Amino acid sequence: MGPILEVQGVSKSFGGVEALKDVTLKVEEGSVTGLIGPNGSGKTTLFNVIAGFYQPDSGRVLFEGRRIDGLNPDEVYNMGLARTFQNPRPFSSMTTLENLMLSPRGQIGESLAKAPLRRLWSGEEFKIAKNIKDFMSRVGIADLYKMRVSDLSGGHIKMVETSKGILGGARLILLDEPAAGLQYAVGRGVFEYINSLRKSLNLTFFVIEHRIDLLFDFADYIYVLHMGRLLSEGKPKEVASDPEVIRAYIGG
Amino acid sequence: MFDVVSFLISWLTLFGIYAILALCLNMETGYTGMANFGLVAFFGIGAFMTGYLSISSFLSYFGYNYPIYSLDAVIAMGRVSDKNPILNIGVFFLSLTFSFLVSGSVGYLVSYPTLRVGPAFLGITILSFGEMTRVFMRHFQPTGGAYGLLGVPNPFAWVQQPTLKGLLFLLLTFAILAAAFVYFEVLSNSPYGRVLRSIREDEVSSLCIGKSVPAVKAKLLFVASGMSGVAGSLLAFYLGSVSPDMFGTAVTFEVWSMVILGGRGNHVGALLGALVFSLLGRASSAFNFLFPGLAIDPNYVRWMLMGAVIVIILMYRPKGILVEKPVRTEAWRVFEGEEGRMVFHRKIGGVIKKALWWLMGREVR
Amino acid sequence: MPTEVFNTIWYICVYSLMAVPLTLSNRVSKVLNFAHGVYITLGAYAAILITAGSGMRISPIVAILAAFLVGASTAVVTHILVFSPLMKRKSNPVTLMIASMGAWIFIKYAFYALLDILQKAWSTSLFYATPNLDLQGQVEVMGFEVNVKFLFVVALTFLSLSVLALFLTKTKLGMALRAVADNPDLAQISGISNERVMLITWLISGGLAAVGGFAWSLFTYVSPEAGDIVILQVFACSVIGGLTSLTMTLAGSVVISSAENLFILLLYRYLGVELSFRPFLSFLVLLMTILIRPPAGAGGGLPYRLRLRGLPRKV
Repeated sequence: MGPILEVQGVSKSFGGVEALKDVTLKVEEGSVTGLIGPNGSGKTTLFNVIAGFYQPDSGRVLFEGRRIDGLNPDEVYNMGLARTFQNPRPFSSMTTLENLMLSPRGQIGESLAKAPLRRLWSGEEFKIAKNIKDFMSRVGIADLYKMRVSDLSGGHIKMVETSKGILGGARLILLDEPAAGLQYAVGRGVFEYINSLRKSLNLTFFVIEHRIDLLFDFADYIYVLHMGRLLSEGKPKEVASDPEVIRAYIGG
Repeated sequence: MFDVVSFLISWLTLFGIYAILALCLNMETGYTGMANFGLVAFFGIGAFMTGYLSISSFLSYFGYNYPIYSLDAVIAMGRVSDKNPILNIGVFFLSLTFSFLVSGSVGYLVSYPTLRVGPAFLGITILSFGEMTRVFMRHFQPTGGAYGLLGVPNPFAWVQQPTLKGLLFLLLTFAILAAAFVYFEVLSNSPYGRVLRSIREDEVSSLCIGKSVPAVKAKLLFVASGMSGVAGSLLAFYLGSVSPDMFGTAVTFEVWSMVILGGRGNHVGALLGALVFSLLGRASSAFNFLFPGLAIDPNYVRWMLMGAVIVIILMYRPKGILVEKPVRTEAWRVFEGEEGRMVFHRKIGGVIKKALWWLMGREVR
Repeated sequence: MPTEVFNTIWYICVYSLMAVPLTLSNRVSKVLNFAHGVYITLGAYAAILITAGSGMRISPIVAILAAFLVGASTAVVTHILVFSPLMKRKSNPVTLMIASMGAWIFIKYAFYALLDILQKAWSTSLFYATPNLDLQGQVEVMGFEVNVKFLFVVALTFLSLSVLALFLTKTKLGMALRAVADNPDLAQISGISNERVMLITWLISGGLAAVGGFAWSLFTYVSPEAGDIVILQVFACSVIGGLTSLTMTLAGSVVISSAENLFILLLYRYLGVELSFRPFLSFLVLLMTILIRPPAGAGGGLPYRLRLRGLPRKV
């Protein structure tokens, strides 16, 4: 089990403002790794760089040993790295089923040339749908399939969001504040769900979270960002008692 | 005297042509969310390419050496366009294909610069592009400049009876419309159609889920612009002439109002919108002819209505009159079981079976 | 004065009178108003209709006021009937853009109908006209023979834009306008009525554009297509201003005007390009601006970089 993701010396500035400065970290395969830091410390920017939204000014990002810095977001996804957004971005006027059917990669029926020939893709479509049905039943949202996502409750929308990457066969998922806006119990449920997936599907999660109480119960390793730089790292207990970290949070 | 038959034929032929345009625009904006305000450019390019190819091929086949925009050429075309039915029809299909390819390629190229800009700038740029194409054609001598081309050979020019000729062309137009309809319908009810809608809903999210958004848009624009070119080709054959001023921004608006009325993401809606507005157009011309000297020119009324319709629909039924249905693929069946089979003939089969059983006095289950 | 220079300056004045209000309305309401061209046309015709209907000459001040009033009221009415209801429904910008196109078509052809009726009633030709003003003669400026109308237009432009600048920077209402433009939610909290600000914006926008139309009518015969003939150039000027910066829009009108009047001559002399190719140049400038220097707020684009595809190899 080595590192599934490596960020090496990544820096990124926007018009003179240094959002990230020389950040280096590793995410071990099969772990739940946390990324914390005060607001504006560059966490989401780091996710954006990893996911391909931005090209780093310097440094590299390696996923499963391959360089992915500079790739576009769709290419990154197709390599097995998915990301979620803090404010979910579902396809609102489409049904839940359609939303989820979009996640799997490399579908034959998605090409312009092959789409008119139903026979080419109907088998695959069927298989994917079965897969999704099983998944939805297990998670308990099976009867939501034909509802438009805009009609779903906030909690359900978040579920759909989080499921997308998983159904797409991603091996590393970047979660941006999964428990944001949820009650403690519900948030805890989300983390328990993440934990069970980690074991059953051998997934890796890299999580930004402000609810440190929740995160520290489930995370294997924590990185702390402050003003674009890596301030501290270590197991949750170590980080929790690191005076520098405490100062950063209270001061910043 | 008012000739109902020729009114109907002219209305329905124009309906057919505009319906194709409406279907194309619907694919671009209703399904994929690309607000194409320069549609008329592809329409016009298709028309001009057809004019160019058809007249040139006829002239060279019969050994004439005139430039296609000259008066000699027009006279020559008048003489030879009804001599060889096979040539007419052959050139027709050749021109259609040529127009498709040229318009499609231009559409494909145009998609690239428009990738990185937001909707406001995109709208202006594409609108300007449409207008610039027209200005360019006005100056482009090889296709007749501001006067355009005359003498485009109708595929049925060899048919002596004018009504029959009109009817045959109408049927041909409808056949092409039907093909376009089926093609777009099939395309939309597939995973590809799902991808298009996801781009419309949130293209960044779609990108993050692995869909290569710019490539998808460019390819769609190729097909849709190409079909718009085909519509232009049909127009050229129908009118027998093309001129740049026929392709002003007004055409783009007309097609937009058709799509807005009929509803986005809904091919039948596009047809409905095309039907209504083409009728409006023909009716106002007819009014003008039947009742000259009205206080208000019916043509003005027609455009005012169009503008009003756009605003009213956007305000009260922004998604259009007909509702968009979700994508119907195999996936639906997995969840809905046998009842999910939306296939038409099976439904009819079920009804017939029930009727037969009832007839035979059995219990209908 | 050489005609080209004269034309360039005149066009700068006219374009800025038309483009600056467009940028303003876009900046405050976030709506790209395609009906803007109609305000120009109506402004151009305000004075014409007065002089044609009454058969008298009128003073240019009256003409300006008439134009401003017509443009302002049209813009305000359009807002009340079209933009306001849609904005309340939280429609997205594209919907508003399309709605503005609907308004454009409606007003344009309603005006056509009106002209038709008036033309018959007054038995004069109105479809190609110019106003009959109390503004004739030549004056000598710095050794050149200059038309009074030209001086008038330059003065008018200078005054209008200065007044606008002062309004926006020095008055409370003007600053409220800018507040709503930059941060509508915050502005709402600080007690400024957004709706009122919108109305004022449209009033200024429509009014000023109409004055631009009037200025346009001083040197050319106008038709009901007047607004549409210039609208794309006007948009180009605003685009150069990023649809947000008024000063850059002014710069834009300098660029577009120079391209159309000076640069085209160079092309004509050395490449034989016809003069009626002008609009094409404006479009090229527009295209290049968007591609090379996408103005701030042109974003909303995709976080995507075009590059040669190919999966990265193992490191």
